[in-house]
Amino acid sequence: MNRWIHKFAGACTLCVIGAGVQADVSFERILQADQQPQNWMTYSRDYAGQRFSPLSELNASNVKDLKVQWAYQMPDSTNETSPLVVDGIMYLTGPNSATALDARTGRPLWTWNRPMPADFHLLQFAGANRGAAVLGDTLFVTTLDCYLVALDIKSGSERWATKVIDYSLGYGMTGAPLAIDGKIIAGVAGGEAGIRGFLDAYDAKNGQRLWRFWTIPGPEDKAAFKTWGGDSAKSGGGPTWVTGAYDPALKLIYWGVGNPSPDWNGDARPGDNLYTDSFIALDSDSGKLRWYFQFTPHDTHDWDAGHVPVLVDAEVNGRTRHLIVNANRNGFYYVLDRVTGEFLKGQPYAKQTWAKGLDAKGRPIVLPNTEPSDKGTFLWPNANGATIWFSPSYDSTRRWIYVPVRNRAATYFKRSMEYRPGRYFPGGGENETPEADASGEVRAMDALTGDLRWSFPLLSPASSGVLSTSGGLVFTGTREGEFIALDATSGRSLWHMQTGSAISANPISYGIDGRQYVAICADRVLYVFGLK
Amino acid sequence: MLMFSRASACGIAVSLLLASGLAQGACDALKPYAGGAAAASREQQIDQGRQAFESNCAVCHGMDASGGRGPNLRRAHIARAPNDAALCELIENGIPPEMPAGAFLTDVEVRALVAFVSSLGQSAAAAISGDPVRGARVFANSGCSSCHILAGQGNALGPELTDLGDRRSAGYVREVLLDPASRLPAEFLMVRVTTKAGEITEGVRINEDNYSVQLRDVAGNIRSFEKTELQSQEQLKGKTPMPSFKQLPSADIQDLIAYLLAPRATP
Repeated sequence: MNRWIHKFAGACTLCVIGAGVQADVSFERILQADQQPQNWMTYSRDYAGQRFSPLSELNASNVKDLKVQWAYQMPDSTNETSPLVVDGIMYLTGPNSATALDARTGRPLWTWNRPMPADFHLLQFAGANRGAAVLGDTLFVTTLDCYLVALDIKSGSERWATKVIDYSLGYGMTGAPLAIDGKIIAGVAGGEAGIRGFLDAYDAKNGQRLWRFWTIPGPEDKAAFKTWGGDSAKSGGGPTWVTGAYDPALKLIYWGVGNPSPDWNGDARPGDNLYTDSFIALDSDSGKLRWYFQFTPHDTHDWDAGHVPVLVDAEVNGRTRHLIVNANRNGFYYVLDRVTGEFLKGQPYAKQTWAKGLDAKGRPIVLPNTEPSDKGTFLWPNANGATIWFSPSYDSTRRWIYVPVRNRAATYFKRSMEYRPGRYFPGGGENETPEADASGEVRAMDALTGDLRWSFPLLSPASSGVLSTSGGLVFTGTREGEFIALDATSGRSLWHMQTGSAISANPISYGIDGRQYVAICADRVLYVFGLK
Repeated sequence: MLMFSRASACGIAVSLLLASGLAQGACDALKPYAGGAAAASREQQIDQGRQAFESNCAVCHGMDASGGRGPNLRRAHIARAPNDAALCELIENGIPPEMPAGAFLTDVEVRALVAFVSSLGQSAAAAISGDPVRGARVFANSGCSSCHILAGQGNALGPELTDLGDRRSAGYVREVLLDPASRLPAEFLMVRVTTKAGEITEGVRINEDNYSVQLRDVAGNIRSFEKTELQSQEQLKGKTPMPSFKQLPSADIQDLIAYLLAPRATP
């Protein structure tokens, strides 16, 4: 029996090791995720967005013996899902589908599908689904045709399905919802279609909407509304497509807001375009805005803030600070106070040529001639950014954050465009530099400063999220299809396996019967690794 | 918002695909391509197509259509869409699961896109005025088959040339023949590896990941190296084993191009 089982067996009355019995997933269980390290009960494992596993059976000494334990072939290609694991059962999602698997053997237990409407056409870049949420005896999934669906966790039967918004306007739903105390928080995609973005909360019991926060303000939000020239806010974008974080003590939900629309032509939307490219902090009961921090005011490069916010508690200058940190798509790393949104520190973590730096309030000092233009403007990073939706990982024992990094430039173009509902509304585009001139890294950084601790070079820009573990390992996938384990201290490569397809997903780790497993989706196949 | 690497496209339910091809109309007049009767000139249509492309397609294919998350469309022939009618249907139906169906495009836009995309591969084209029969002799006498397979004959050090006419324009082929290093494809790379035992191998990179590299060496052999076995790996950017053929008479070059681009069935 493994050490963590001994350590936690006493404290954990609900956890059942093995696939035999399942208990409801209460809010309290997710709050105390560290007491059930064998489970992965919410998108990032914990509400702090840390994607860190306290499991330690796998370590730098034995990871060389890691082997595939089982694999599961999914019906759709290029899956981006981050599985959940509760009491020996794994829950996977695809576009408009969900599946429960025996996490020990990979054998399917139930599947659920929602047919696509006949008139649906995909305007999202990804027909993906990135994961589910669980609360009580219910699994919550979002669909491309913009429903939030509640499934009985033991059978996959639908309990309720709530229409979130009309997909024909260009909205989609691809992200994992976030389940908190009786509420399901869910966001939308559609930043290339000129949507008006929002973040919603629903009653977990019946699917009734409790509140909606518009990320593109209406006239009632005077100050923010003024940051949109003319009537540009009507098609202002601001999607909320990547799962956020939650601080139960502050009762604040933290969520990233995507790009303004049209992406590459800012002429029609003069102003800072709030709350695009921002982190927002919302009161979980009312949905009211507590604070926001905008990383890229008046963005014209599609550097949206669709990132998992990472919550960090640390001593700063002798005082405990509640922080929120982010390696942003625009190439800068940020440290903010998560109570107030105050900017504390920031610096570039990847090559960028658009800003001289950040001012005292964290606003970028933008260099001249960096806007997209008719003939093209070359700069770093490209529209995919220095990192993108896939998750970083934070190890609180080291206070290091591990970030998958993309190094690639682009020439940006601006074009005139008229908004038409339900159609692409990019207002320009980019030509990426050749692949031969692009590269990637996994960077380990001091989470409080962004200072580099080590860098593991990748042949191509990062395509996958990162998982760090208590065993001192960092897992990630690559564009070339390798799933790899690095030494968390040195960044040295310890193990790798070629999965056969590019990896564009987030890894997780879970345990059954005292054995630690690591799971990752590679295209159509979910691989589960362990020692045996 | 949802942009990511080319590798990260995503799946979508089959029912979605079935839904996408229902609206027909734009392609009917393109069997064969008839143009717009009362419509703009071909040039105007191509220009409209360029605008529609930049608004709807460039997000994946790049503003200049040279590729991004989606493939490069600046080629003489697109295998999936060998003619305008097929290209039109491809635009309307998409390529599941990655390429969305163009259900939101008007018929006029679809036709303009067809005109624009089909014009791309011809933009650098030069007239093919040579004699392919003479060109076959130039090909044989110049030793091309020592490095290239064409119609099943030759060696595989360089790329296969059987379907070159589907991939490259005459102008492109001419530039490569005269100055091979000037037009190396983005994915082409010569590398030199040195093993820890001191063995040096140069070759064309076939594939590479973070832990291994596969080459075709100058003798045409496939070699695979674990990077832990290597003391160094150099990228020989701009280098190619192909010699220039600029010493050939221009008539021979012209005939050779005509031979290389001649349509032929693959063996």
